[in-house]
Amino acid sequence: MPGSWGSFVSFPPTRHTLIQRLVDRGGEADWRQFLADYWVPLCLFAERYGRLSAADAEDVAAATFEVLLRKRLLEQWASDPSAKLRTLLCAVGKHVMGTRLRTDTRRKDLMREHGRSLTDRDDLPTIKASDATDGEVDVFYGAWIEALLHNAVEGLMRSLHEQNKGDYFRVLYGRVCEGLTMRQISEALGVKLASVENYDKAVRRDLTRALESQMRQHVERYTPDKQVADEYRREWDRLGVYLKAHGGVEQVVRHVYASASPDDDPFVRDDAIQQTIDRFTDIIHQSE
Amino acid sequence: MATGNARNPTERPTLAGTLSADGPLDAPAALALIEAVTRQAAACHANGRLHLDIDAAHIRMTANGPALDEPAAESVTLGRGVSDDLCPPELRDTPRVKVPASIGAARDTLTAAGIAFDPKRIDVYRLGVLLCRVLTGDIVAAYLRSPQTAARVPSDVRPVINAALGLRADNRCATCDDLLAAIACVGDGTGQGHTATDAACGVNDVAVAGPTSDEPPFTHLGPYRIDARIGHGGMGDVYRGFDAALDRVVAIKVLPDELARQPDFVARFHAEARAVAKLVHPNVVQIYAIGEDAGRYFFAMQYVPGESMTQLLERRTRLTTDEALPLLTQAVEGLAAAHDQGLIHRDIKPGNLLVDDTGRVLISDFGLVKAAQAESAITVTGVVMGTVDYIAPEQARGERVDTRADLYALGVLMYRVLAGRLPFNADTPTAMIFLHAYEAPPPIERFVPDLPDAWRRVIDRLMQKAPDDRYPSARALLADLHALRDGRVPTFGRDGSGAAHVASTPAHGRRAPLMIAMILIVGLAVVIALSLQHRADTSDAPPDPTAVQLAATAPDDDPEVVTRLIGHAAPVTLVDYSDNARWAVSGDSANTLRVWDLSSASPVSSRPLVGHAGKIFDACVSDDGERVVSAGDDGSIRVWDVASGASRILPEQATDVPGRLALSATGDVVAIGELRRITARDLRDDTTPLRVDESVYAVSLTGDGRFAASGGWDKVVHLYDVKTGERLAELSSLHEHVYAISIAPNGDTVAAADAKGDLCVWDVRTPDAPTLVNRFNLYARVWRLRLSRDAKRLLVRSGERGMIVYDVASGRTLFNRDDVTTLPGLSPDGRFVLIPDGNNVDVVRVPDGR
Repeated sequence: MPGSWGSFVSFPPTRHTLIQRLVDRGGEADWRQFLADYWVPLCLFAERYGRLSAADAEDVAAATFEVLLRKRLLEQWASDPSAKLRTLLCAVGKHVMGTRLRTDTRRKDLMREHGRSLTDRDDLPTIKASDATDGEVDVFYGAWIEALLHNAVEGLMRSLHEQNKGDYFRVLYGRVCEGLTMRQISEALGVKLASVENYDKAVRRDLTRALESQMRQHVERYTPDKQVADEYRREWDRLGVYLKAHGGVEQVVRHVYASASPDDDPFVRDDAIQQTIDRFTDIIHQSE
Repeated sequence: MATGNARNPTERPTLAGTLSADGPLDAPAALALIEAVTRQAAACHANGRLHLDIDAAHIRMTANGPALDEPAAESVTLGRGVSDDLCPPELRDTPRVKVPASIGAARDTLTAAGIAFDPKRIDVYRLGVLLCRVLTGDIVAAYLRSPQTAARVPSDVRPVINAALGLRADNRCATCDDLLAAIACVGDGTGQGHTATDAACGVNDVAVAGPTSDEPPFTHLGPYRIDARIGHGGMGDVYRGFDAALDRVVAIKVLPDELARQPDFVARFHAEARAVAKLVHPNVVQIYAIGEDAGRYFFAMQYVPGESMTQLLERRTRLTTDEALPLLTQAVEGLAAAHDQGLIHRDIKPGNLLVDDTGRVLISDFGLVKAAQAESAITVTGVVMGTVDYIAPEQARGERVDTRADLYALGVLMYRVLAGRLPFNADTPTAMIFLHAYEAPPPIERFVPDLPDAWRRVIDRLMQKAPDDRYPSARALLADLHALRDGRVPTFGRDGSGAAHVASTPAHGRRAPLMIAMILIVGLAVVIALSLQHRADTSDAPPDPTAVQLAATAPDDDPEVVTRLIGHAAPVTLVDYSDNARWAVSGDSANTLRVWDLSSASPVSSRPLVGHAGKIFDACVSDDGERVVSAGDDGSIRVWDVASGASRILPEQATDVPGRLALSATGDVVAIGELRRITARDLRDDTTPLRVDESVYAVSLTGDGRFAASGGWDKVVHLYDVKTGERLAELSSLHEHVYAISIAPNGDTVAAADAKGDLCVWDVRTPDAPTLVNRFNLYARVWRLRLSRDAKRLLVRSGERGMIVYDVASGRTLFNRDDVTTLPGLSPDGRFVLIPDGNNVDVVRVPDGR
């Protein structure tokens, strides 16, 4: 049952985490959430670690989730979650990429001949979270943070436009992603310089809140109630260290948006996610 | 995304080709083009068909203007993951749905999918995307993000794009006609706009209420072009405008709708504004004109480029006497001129003193406060008008005020300016009122040790409790300020004995018992005034003149707070109304409960209800205020007799989350969810007419206790007749486990939310054929739902999104407080919420969402 409660009230942990629900054959909504959380990080990881194209990276992401499903790796992980879930995802993604590279030339034949995906191969080795090296995990973590930050920024944009405060967001975007000065933004938007500065102050605060909210929601989805507070603190602290090492939150936002043009956004992969979910639905139905 | 027949190629160039070759259009050309295309889309709609393919590639540039291709697409797939340039925001989080081109069939398809959405919006949205494209040459995402892209759209055209895109739920073009009206408001897109047809500009009018923003909700008022919103306050929003006839910038204050709807107020406003308009003084903001446009009352006044003294004090905290003297002198000169004409300001405070770029001080808002004040309601209004930080004692006591009330406020302001702090600090407006009425301020020399004695005596004199002990007039004060400037000895008014009065203020201590009694009496009067107001507001009667004034009593940090319930000794974790809104029950983290009489905003008893050994996570109170039921994580469900504080424990077991306990308004029936069982217990004879074994995560009862609803693991909401135990209906639109339920008190409507935050509202007047009224998705765990009696408003307290009050029909958010982590309550009329705030409970007004 329920997620986190506020600072004043805490109730006993009766909520199932997302992973527990997935292990119990969660519904489409659960899978959609899980994929929404990790699809982009896996794609970015595949692009960076495996130096793959965007299309190939999506194949890897789809295959990774399929391996998790078919090999019941989430079930294994849930019974002994000694490593971070994302470490497991990183390890599986790495194995998929390794296998893919070895069999790439045979892949199409394999698929055509057997009508089965790469992940059905019985010779796929046993995968453990510990298979991922620290360096690989760091790459995956960076990808995950970028996805989280992207969600926070996009959510903030929607929210501000809903409140008729779209210019607040434009101030943030203009300054951080377009490198505009306050005066340039003021002139572009036709808003007083003082107002632009006030918007900037407010939107920076809002961005922090949005990021906190994204992180908290993520932690709450994957962590039993009793551990949420501690886990959130750990993740928040680690995020702080990461951002500091990468030049601060705005530098990372700049990097995230620099890698995307608005009409070809690597952070928007809903079509691929939907296709994967459709495939999962088939797999689950076949196994029932 | 659209599917359909291929079109025949044509020789005529498309708009896409033109844009590609020539670049974006200028605003007049873009608006003319969109207007023409919108009319063609409207004609298509009139034939019962959606176009579905409105984009630059399907518009031919002909000698007669742009021609939208004949509609050919048979359907379009919209929903989650579809590009922003194709999918309206209302559908971006919904499952994908294939919408047919026939409007009727599209409606049916969407309704069947549980999506409340007018399919014509699909084309209107595309027109917004197209307008964005032809002006910027870019996609919507770039317009929403980038100031450089937005800069290509003239500021008066942006509201049209925003409304067509439907960025805000409360300001959306639903139809082509709406869009045409919005375009008509813009004029030629050069920023000059129309002056005569603005009454038709309904699209932009929707947004008067709402957060302060530089984007004005309308483009013109009367003869004035509106350029930006520059201020917001209880007396209305202020805009920067332009008077083209006289070629000057003006400030325009628009009265709040609540006031504008009251004929008496409007008459008073006109009378006062006429009087104030006669006042022409370099230190008073000049009123130029009073007007009304489309039901909106406004006055145009002198625009003062600069800052308010509030902003000045934010920068400087405090000023030296040399810095303060010229500013204060000017303010007093303006005040003296006004007093000479018999005008009282009643709200002198830093925010109403403007300092222009040359250092000139101008007093603003003369006459507004008086206008808002009904003579017959002087006691109440005398208490509540004006910022209580500067309120004169006679105002605080509800007595009639004269010009000397302004002098007291000026004394407080001088104290604030020189000391860098207010003379009094209090947690609540009520406490602040008491302090001004009865307490001596701390000597200012404590904070400004080097303050010249003459200054101290001037301030002391101004801040005397009795008006007769203050300066007799602003002119007398002005003379003393001139004396200070010239290094002469001030006279401190007529008798020069001001200091002696202040020196004697400790004598108040000798009158302590009397003073305390008076504080209690006045305090009670104030609280009753407030709660009477609250009661009046909870009725269905139209708002009365004091409605807005109440906002002035709100804590400074939260202008929406109507009043505050004070009495808990630990943080309050939950609160709820009785069905008749007369009572409230609250629980705190020390496991105690309190029942409140909302007619007096006071606890029913000085003793809290104590007995639970663990956290309380549900409590309900009956309509007579005599019975409370509560559930705690000690596992007990208790029934309390409020008068005696005694309780008994029911045999059912309390589970560990809120939402599984309900009490009828009569106090006779309690419904309990026990994970695998729902029980309705009749407390009159301790029978259990309803006892069903099923998974139960949430329960609710009608006010009369006749019907119950429950939901749980099976994702279905079950409706029961409590009397017979019969299952009346199953509502099965949710896809996950049901976590929260609310039945409207009259039993006509049921709201429920599932584990994913999917939220449905059903009309169950015909239980065997329930109707889905609306559906939202919060994507957050919902802890509490409360429907108003008429089911028009719905309070949702969710895990990630705090507290939201929705307009059920439209899905609009009326009120959102994402900092609420406790369980709030919604008044049965939906106009107020109870929100725990630390050890207190705030009664907060829900904005009406206009």
